[in-house]
Order: sequence, then C-alpha cells, then structure tokens
Amino acid sequence: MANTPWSATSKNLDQDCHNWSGGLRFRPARLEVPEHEEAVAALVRAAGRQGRTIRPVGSAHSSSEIYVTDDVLVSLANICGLHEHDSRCHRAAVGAGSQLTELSKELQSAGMTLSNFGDVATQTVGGAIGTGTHGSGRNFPNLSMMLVGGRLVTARGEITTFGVEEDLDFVRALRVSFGTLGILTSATLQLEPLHDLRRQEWCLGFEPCMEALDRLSRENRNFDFYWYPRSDEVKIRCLNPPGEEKTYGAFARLAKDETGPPHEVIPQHSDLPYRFEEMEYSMPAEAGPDCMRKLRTRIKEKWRRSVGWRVLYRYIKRDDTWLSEAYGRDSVSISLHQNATLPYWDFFLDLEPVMRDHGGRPHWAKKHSLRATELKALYPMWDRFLALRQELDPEGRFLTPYLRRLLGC
Amino acid sequence: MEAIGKRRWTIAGGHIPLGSNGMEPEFTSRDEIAVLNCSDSPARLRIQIHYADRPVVGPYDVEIAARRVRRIRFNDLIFPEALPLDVDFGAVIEADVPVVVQFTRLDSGTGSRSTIATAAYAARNLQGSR
Repeated sequence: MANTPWSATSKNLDQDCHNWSGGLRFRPARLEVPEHEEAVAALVRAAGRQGRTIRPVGSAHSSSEIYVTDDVLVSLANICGLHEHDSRCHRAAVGAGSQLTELSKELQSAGMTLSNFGDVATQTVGGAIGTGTHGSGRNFPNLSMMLVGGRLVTARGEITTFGVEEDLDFVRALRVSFGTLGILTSATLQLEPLHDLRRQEWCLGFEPCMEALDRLSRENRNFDFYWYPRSDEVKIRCLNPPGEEKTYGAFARLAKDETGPPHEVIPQHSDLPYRFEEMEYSMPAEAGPDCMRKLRTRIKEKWRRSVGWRVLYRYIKRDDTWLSEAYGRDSVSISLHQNATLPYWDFFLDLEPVMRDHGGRPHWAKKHSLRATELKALYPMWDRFLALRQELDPEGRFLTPYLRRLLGC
Repeated sequence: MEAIGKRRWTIAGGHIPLGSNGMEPEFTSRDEIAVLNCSDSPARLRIQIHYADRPVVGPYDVEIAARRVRRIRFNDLIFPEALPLDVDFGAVIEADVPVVVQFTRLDSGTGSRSTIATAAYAARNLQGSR
C-alpha cells in the first residue's frame, strides 16, 4: 500500500483527513493516489471537465491550510523513488512524492546526499520544495534551491518539462509555489557527494550564546540553537565535516556527539511521538538577535506559565526564489512551538507582531495570520508571481478558498 | 548492586512557583525530583500528572541509568504536554525497578528564597516491598 498520509485510501472518504499535528481536519470529496505521472495528468484533465479543483499533498506535515480542500486531493505517495542519477554532476531525478527519509537511503546507495535537512525528514520532495522547507546554516538556502529541473502537470492536464538552463525565471517562481503553478511529479535535484558530518550539541546560558552568536554561526557548517523558556538555557547544535569541528568546552557543556551521513545526523526529530503546533518567521539575519531578545523577554514576562516548549533559531542563505522566505536577504528564522494539546493561538498571535516588526516573513507551511495585503508588501516579486499564476491557471484549478485569500486572487 | 527503594511513588503537593529571581537555571523556581537508581539496570519511569480540574496527563517517560542519580524538573517536561506553572498537581511515578525518589521545591520568586525537600510517598507494592 502506498505510504499515504492517511489510512483512508479509497476514493470516497468516510473519515476526515488530518495533518501531522492533528490541528487541521478536513474531508476532501476524493483522495486520489495515482500510480504514475500520466494518471496525475488525467486527474487534472478530469477535474477541468468537471469544474473541480485539485490540490496536491505531500506528507501532510504542514500546519497551514495550503492543502486543505473539500474537493479533489491528490497524494503523490506512489510517485516516488530515485529514477536516474548522474554521479559526476551529483544530480538525480526523483519522484516528487518521495519521502526525504526514504529517498536519502536510496541516494546514499548512489553515493550522494542532500546538502541539508530540516529538523525532520518526513516531508516529501514536492512538499519540502513547494513550501520552502529549510535547515540551518549561513551557507545553505532552503531546500527548494535543490530543484534544477523536472516535470510538471499543468492546469490543463499536460505534462511539461522544465530546467534552470532553459527557463530560470520559471524555476524561480515554481520552487516555492505550494502547488499553485502545477503539480510537480519529478524533481531533478542538485545534490552533494555522500559525506559524513559530526554533530555536537552544547548547553550554555542565553547570554554567552548571544555574545558568541556571530562567530558560532560563521565557523560551523550548520549551526542553530534552541532556547528553553523554562530554564533560560540554550542548546547549540553544530555540524561540521569530521576533523573540522570546534570545541566550546570553555563556556559550554557537551551534551551530544555523533557522526554520520547528513540524513542521519541533521534531522533528529522525525519520530517525535508527541505533536506540536508551530509558528515561524524569517527576518534579515542582522535583525535576528534583537528579535530573539524581544521574544525572550515577552515569553518570560507573559507566557512562561503555559509555554514550556523551546524556541528555535536558525540561519538561511539568501536566494532568488520569488516567494521564498529568504528572497534577497540572508535570513534568520525563529520558530515558536506549543504542544498540540494545549491552546496555542493566543501565544502565537501575541508574538507574531514582534517578528513582523523585524521584517519577518511567515513560513508558508506553518501557522500565521497574514493574508494577501500584508504578504504583498513582503515579497518584491509578488505581482509577477500572481501574474504568472493567472497565466498558467486562469480557472483556478489548483486554488482553494484559503489559497485565494492568501494570494488575493 | 541490590536495588533500593520502591517501584511506585507519589507526590500530592506539586505546584511550580511562577516567579523567579536570580541567575537561571540555578535559581529558577521549580518542583523537582531526584531519583536514585542503585540497581544494575536502567530504571524506566512513567510519570502521570493529576490536576484538580482536568483529566490525567501522561505518561512522561524518563530513564535513569544504572547506578546513577538524576534530577528531573517538572518545569522542563514537555512530552506529552508542558505542565502549567502556578497550578496544583500531583504526580504518580512508576518505575520498572526499585528507586528512591526525593521531591524538592525551590521558590526564588519570594523575597526570601525558600526551599523544601521531602521524600515522596512510597506506595507499598503488592507482593511485598519490592
């Protein structure tokens, strides 16, 4: 059976779908799990004939409503795996429904690896690219920048190919477009030769971390930190090629030390048994420290009673993807978390203005309250993206009421 | 080494103070247990939290290595759910090997810092003291 997000795989659902956290529940009219690309195209053509909308979904890890629909939902879980690869260029064509964890094992056998991962690797390739999923590291853009070509089912149900060499602007628009420009079926990814990384985690106080933050973020391949609001402590997470690691024993306590391939040592929380909700904003990297300090002050003053979850601080390299959080600016992302079983909206909404005041752009796949009017002001290429979307999908085949509000179309 | 203690412990008067003064984490107000595992096996603890006005939350799974002591702050437990501060709670702690549990509260939010420490209540296990 396909690795679908839900146990229900019949075409007429008799139960609600829900996302990873359980916070989103909805009932699509149909859930389709096509076996191959041509079947995806046929579904889109059928939706066109019937006047229906169609939404692609990955692993349903997102907690925003980007895939929520009461119409046709299509999972690419069966369109997965490593299709072909070029070891000299370190490129691979993979099914867009490939889960990152599983794909990484196949890539490992082929001697390649993704450059970076987020904290979890349960996302699919299509979902991670389409939402701008990212890890951390000053020299690492979000995962969508891996996409250098591929195949797409258009709103008319046609299969097209694309590549950065042929139409760079189109790829810049497509990378982070959460399935509004077409359904990505095959992704050609720019990868790295397989290598090991040494992961070291150190615990220290908040102020020593902030004092050393610039250096820490520059001298480690991957660097991020958690701040724990109930103890005011910090855990920094540093990954480097073996032999190039740094030591911080003078001001921090080593809590973890392990070495392995990137897909084993970067994502560490793929199997969390308990769910949480998350809000994340990215801001210019230079604004990150001040924003973090203001968030910490506010949380300690007002939210410590009910919030025990850590705050995550990460780095993202600037890119030129039109709707990327890091478009045109080296960025810092700050993520707020709360147990999914506890109230979270008041907490998130109280702190959202702090992140917006620092130039924050919300993560497309996480909680936020912004709509088109506010988003347009944050993205210089907003109007070009909307014009392209209108050109490619004039009937709104890939839109839902939520996406219409989000994009203002 | 022979295990010492009991397999089931309870704390009735849990209440993590809200305010803190002084350097953290040293002076963070907290409710905390110290668990001593003298046995030659890891001790796996399952903690259930009881409240005055809502259902039990748990289990919180914690492991203490063989022949080790570990301090666990209730403040820091977030799986499956963070405990609220300034709210009465009770804890039922079950271990798969006999352990000794001591409960401590530090309240640094008051003018004069106060600390209390007491042994948790050990339930007499069925089938004898082990």
